[in-house]
Amino acid sequence: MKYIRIFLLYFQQAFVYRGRSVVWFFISLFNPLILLLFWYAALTGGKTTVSWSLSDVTAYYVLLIISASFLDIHIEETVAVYDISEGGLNAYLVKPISYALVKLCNELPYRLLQGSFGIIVFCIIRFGLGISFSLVNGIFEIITTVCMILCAFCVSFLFKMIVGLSAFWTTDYTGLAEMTGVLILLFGGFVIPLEFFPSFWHTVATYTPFPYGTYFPVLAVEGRLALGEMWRIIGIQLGWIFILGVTYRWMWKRGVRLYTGVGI
Amino acid sequence: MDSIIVDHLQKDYSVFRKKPGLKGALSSLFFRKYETKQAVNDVSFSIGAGELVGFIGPNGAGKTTTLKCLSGLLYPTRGTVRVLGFDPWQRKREFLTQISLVMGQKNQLWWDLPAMDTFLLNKEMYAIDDAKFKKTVSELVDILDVSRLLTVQVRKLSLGERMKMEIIAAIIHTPNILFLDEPTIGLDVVIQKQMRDFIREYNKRYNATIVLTSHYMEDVKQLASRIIVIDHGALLFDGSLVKFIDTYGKDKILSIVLDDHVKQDQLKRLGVVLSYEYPKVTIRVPREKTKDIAALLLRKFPIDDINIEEQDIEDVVRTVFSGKTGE
Repeated sequence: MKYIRIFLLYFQQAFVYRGRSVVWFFISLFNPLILLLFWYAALTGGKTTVSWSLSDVTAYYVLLIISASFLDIHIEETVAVYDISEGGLNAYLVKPISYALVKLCNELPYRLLQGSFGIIVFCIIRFGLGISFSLVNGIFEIITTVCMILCAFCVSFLFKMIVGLSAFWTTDYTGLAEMTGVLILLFGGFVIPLEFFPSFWHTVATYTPFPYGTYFPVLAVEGRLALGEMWRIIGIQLGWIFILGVTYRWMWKRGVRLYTGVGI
Repeated sequence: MDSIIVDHLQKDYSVFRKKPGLKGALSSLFFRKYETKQAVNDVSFSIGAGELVGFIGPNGAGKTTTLKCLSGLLYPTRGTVRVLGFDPWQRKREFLTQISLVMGQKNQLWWDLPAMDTFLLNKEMYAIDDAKFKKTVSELVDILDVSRLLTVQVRKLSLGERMKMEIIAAIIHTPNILFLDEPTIGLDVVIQKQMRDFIREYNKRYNATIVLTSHYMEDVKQLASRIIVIDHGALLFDGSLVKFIDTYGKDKILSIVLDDHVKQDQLKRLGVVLSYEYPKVTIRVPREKTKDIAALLLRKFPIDDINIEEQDIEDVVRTVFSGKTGE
């Protein structure tokens, strides 16, 4: 009897977070979808235009892991939980500073530190294990790649800040964070390179900001993109930076009006 | 000149109400009921430059909400707030560099680094030059006697030491207006006194306007000559402590030293005997009958000494908030 009551209490709790329930439903839908896409790509390999060898795939994943250590931003939890939900934002709002820039300053050292670990891992794989990778060469290509990586950082940062700001409107932001996490895994090329995707899903991915945060910069580092293609992608990245920047400002302006700073 | 002008301030919160039980949970899935809670309702007051004002009220009275509106954290639902001529909500740089908010239950210090690192962070945030920073830190550290703790990891500090560091971090830019929300909460009596001395000293040295909320009446008694009392979001009283006791203190306290033993029952007829430890007795009597009762005591009882005192502010406040004054 006692455990039935406990069960019913948990049941009630589940009804409180309506939005979260919907989001978690999508998450449970997306996870098998990823596997489905993977196997689809594997089994229909002969019919696609994909021209990746095993060493290409290995290089891709190694560079992806290293790039992610630079570019995979983790600021959303601090923004949503510690700052908005628990009132830590108070300390920023009463100071003459830009919240976004302070958070950028907060995040950047972690990315540089973890990125440097990534470079160490790369050196071990490249020189210690003797596994060779084809990397971008040519001075213009290298400079353009650096520009693309900087834009990728901005895209990822703004997107994660927006996810964090959602806590102004939601009681529990974790569902949304999980859902965007799955989308990043899927469309950011973390599960399989986007080239392995069926053309429809490949097109869908390119209309989201996710591949511009990690996937295309990795291809650029690998030297898989021509100079013209790289500038086209930078153009799209700048477009996303503009859209996400405007969205961030819009959410911030409205969100702080709803902010209670916890307690009366 | 007034530093702070609050005119008909109102702040509402939207609160989700759920009926208890599974039925309530199911119905809230489709029909969610929100209520508007008036945290602050039509509050008006002004505070002059250099004033130190105590903000009193029970839990949930709206003290912290008012302070948040004054510091620009919250957007008022209605009414206007002007602080140093600025609308706090706009959070202009010129405004933010002149104020500070210290919340006793929130901290801004980096937990895993020494407090000095947070001071340095704030130095950059407020663009304080090196010479001023060194001078201010040295002064504040000296007054609060924490110089030896500057390089100790914050997590290794005691609550009192941490609060001192919090205060320093908050006023490193020497603000003209200081909002202190429960700055002595959880501190022992010794540290409480040190904090009070510091607040008084800061008020005098920088002619700073200070608005203080505290559940410890001793803080308010020791520091504030003026109090603003708020209850259920509405302003109940604004004036001096003396006037507050005059208005709401319905009783006075007679402190008596007896010459000889007197039966307690005889004294009970005159008022409420608060303590009886021969030869000392304290009796609470109605304010308007004080003189008569004192005269009666001197005439009919063996009295060595008698003092007429005002009721303790804490008792008056308790009576006011529990609604026993009939006001």
